[in-house]
Amino acid sequence: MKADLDRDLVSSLDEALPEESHLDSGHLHRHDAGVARQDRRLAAGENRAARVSLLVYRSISVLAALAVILILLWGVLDLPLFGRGNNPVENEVSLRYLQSGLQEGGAVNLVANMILDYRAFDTLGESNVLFAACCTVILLLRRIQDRESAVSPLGEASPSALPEDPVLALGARVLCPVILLFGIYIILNGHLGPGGGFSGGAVMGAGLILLRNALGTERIGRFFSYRTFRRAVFAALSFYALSKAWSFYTGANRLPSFIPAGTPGAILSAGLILPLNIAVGLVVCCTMYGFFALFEKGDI
Amino acid sequence: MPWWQNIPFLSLLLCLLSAAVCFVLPSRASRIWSRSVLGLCAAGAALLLFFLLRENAGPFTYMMGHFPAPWGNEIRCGVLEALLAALFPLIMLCALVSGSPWLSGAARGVSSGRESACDALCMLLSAALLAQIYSNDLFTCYVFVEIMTLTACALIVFRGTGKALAAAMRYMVMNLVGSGLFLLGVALLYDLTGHLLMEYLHTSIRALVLSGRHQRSLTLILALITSGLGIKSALFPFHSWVPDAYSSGVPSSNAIVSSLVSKGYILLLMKIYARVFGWDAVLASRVDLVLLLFAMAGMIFGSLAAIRTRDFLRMTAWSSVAQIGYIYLGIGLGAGAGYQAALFHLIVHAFSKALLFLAGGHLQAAAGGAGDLESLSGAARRKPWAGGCWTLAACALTGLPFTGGLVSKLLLGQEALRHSLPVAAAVLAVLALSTLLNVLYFLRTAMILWSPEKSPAPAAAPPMGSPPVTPAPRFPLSAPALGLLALGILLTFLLASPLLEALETGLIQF
Repeated sequence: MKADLDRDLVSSLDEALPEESHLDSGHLHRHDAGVARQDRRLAAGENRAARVSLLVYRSISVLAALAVILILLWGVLDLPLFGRGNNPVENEVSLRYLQSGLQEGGAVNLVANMILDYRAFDTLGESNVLFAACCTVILLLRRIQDRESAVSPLGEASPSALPEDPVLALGARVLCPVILLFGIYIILNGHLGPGGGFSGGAVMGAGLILLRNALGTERIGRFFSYRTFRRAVFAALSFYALSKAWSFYTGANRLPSFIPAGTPGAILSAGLILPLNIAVGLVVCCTMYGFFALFEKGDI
Repeated sequence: MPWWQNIPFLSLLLCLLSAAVCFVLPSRASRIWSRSVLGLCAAGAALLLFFLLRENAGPFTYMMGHFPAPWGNEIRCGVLEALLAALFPLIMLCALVSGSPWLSGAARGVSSGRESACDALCMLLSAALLAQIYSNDLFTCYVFVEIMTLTACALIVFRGTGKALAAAMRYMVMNLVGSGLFLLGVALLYDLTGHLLMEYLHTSIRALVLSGRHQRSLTLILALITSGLGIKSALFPFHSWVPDAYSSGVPSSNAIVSSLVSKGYILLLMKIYARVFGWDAVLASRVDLVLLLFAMAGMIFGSLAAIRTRDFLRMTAWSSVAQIGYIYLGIGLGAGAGYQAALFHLIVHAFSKALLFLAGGHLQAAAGGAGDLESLSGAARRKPWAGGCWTLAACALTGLPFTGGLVSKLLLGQEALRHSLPVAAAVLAVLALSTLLNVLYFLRTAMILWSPEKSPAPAAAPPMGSPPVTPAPRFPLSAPALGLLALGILLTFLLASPLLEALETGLIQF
């Protein structure tokens, strides 16, 4: 509706403009000038009508938004109070996650148990949401560059083509190893403490983006090209799908899964959670870095 | 557990895996791979349906992991789910096989890898559709709603033209509002019940309704979920994104987005009404009346807009608004027979809308890629098989005999008669008026398409605003795929009674 109004406004402006330029050209008969003036007045009237309807539209939308906000607040007032012990959410579901998560999932971090073991199917969907976004951005923004024409149209304007900034380069050289190492730590430690694939992958992706800005596209392209990106995403997602397919199949058919649980608290424990964290971390890292690279230059 | 109960989970995981596989394959291989996986999924679901009917077994649940229901994820399958899981991938397969390639010749040589990405997105979309069909968990549904939103957006925008970008922007804004409302509803529901699994939600909600507590929140949640999914499935007042979104891609993507994506959301809404709230709670909150009103308004205004437009694709897109109205009319008429009519029309519309867009693509290609109705005159004579398929699909949507559309209109009318007099009168009047309007614009278009006068040489430049259509597709399987869809439309009429019986069984198990 708004777009329609906008279009009306634009079209009425379009109608108004040629008349003005016509007037400016100077050699008009009086009769023509009169018609033109009349047209312009008409166009101005339409213009005013469009403005008024835009104003009406805007006030209606503000009122509607206010109404929705009030209705939502009115509904929220009816909800159980936050943090009470006898709330409906404190039921057998969360109780079992808390009480027997350690034995059943094997991860000390109970959140990791929940998202990668109890409800691993949802998380598989979540990582595929990232993948879908990735594919879309690639479809829209990726421009294939010929080997001959080294510089892309946007390449000259992009920061990576500027001469290397010494402060940025030195800072990146010092910081990036630490950032990447910290990201890897968050991923690998995901089943032992706070962290996991999503947060660790985001940290690693940020580290790669910093590296790209400091050192330039060519140097990072030596170890992280579009081909690497594709292969990493493929490896992570297919490993996730295949391993979970195995786990769902054995679980539903009541078969032994042969996946060692390990002792809770050890680094190699919690069954599939550690490898799945690595897979999720890989997908998140690649997605973040890929988005940055595609938006900046149209290629990874 | 019998072995065939593994089929739903296998087809879901196979689609997700194939998305990653298609992403790394070269375009030709990914094309073959994605088509075969879709065929395999459809065949598997047909097998599942066969076993379900033969064993006369009830619905079964399947544990996704090592933990039983309220703790782990779960999928659930009955006759209805198996039927839809066989039809949706089949329609998508037909759309992919018979439509034009994703990118036109010039763009294809330059951008290898983009076609594979399109195929990967189609695999993700089919996985999401299967998840909407099978999932028994509200949050899983939400996750796959997100995947559907994103992949449909990609299918709308992937050509990168200005029109496609504008359409996708509009689509994205509206659909994210819808997702947000739906997510709000799910979160509030979790706050009230502490569950996400549908059976447990139903038990808690019934307890709440009986005790009379939190009625306000329950009504609010119902409104949030209904409006969220209504926006996403183009229910009448929320349809502003439809005409652009359904007409900006190539015929394949238009067919998929218009005939399948909205169906996933409608199915989810029906599932929530039937399995989470229960129809009594829906009736108590008067949501059914709202749906009836919106549906009837959509049936009229969608057709009126279709009559007004002179653009071939936009007309087809506007007719979707009216047809979605029919489906919602069935839902609004109530559980049982109303649902049956809604599902029947959902299937008929999925077949015919896909056929309409695909055959329309061929007709446009025959007319030199023109977009407005006048320049399509005589196109059906140049490609009689595409013209015939288009006419058949139009007949089905109008509700003429020998197509499934007649059956769904009869069912809707019959169900309306069971309601109170004002409702019945209004529904019947709107049905009649809407059929008349449908006849008006489909007949006009069919007459233009079949008109004998040879239009002069194909228009040199398509008029401004209409999307440039890709060159004539040269796919060998295109005619059989169109034939398959046409056969589907005929079969929904000829085999209407076994289909209705299966839907009834499915709804009892739903």
